[in-house]
Amino acid sequence: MWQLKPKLNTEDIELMGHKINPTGLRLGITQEHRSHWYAPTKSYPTLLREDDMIRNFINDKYSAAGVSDVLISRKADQLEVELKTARPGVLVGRQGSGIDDLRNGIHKILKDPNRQVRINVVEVERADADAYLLAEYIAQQLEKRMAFRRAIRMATQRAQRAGVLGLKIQVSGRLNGAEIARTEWTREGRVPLHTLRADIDYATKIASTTYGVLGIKVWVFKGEVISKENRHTPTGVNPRRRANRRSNEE
Amino acid sequence: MSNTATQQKIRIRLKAFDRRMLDLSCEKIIATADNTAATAIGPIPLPTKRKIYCVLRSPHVDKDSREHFETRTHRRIIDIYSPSAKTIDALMKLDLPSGVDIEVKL
Repeated sequence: MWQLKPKLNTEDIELMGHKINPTGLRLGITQEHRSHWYAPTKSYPTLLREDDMIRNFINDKYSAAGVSDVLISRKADQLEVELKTARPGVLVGRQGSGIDDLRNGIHKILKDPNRQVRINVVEVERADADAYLLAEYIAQQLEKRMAFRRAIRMATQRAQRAGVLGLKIQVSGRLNGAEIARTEWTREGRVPLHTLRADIDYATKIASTTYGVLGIKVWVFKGEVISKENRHTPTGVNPRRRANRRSNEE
Repeated sequence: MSNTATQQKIRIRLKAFDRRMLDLSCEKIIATADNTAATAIGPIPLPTKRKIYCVLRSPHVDKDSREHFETRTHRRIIDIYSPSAKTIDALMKLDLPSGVDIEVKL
């Protein structure tokens, strides 16, 4: 019979816990792919690289417009780019000049001015409930040398005002320029990472400061997806309480 | 069946990574074929091809810790017998979701 494990097992030091990316876990359910196209094995890498270059270009050029997501789909040589943004006005510019610039930029990346490119700009309904935008907000504040706790608190208030069921924020690195890096996180409400039907918006952002790089991770829990039609439980309602009420009536 | 074997037929091969979108496209194609009075056989599912990618999790060293991803290619075949010009027209105009690759062979 094996002896009992000692309190400090030397094996435990190497085996660290690991949290899988909640977006990756939910790709079949609750989450959609960000690039939606089919390509045979030969052309897949070229198209993937195009997607990557387009996304980098958009993030560099329109960071002021608060672009939260770029969805790319292809249909037989036609490229459709959908931008989700909190401030579509800034993106589109005056009389659509922003979109023309974007199209020219994409044509330059593709090195083919004859490719059909369709651009859609969609407004994000609750900008303060979007994980990427919250992460971007915190990153900007940290780069302006705000105290990280204050930045986190402001982001939490914004999200709560937008009516979010749960929020978790993690910031790691040389917080407030300290010599020793550490990780701090706060959580409000529920963030059930193990529940597959939970709609969790996850985003990562990097803030580059004079002291180094700070990593920001934001999880936003927006509700559970019970069926395909009615997506979310209404915000602010505890799903467990509703279930109890239903069983009492029956 | 012997009737259909001697007639002209269109073979449509559909490939996609997303099974739901593929089934939706099949339904649309069969609906258009039915609307234009042509017999459509299908969708016949072919075996799904699964490509597995095993990558290292760490950016440096740690050979024993990896992660598997896979790409699933779902395939379907739809045969349309006795197509009229209207059928071909309707099929060409049909707007299918973007994640599906379609090959048509006459």
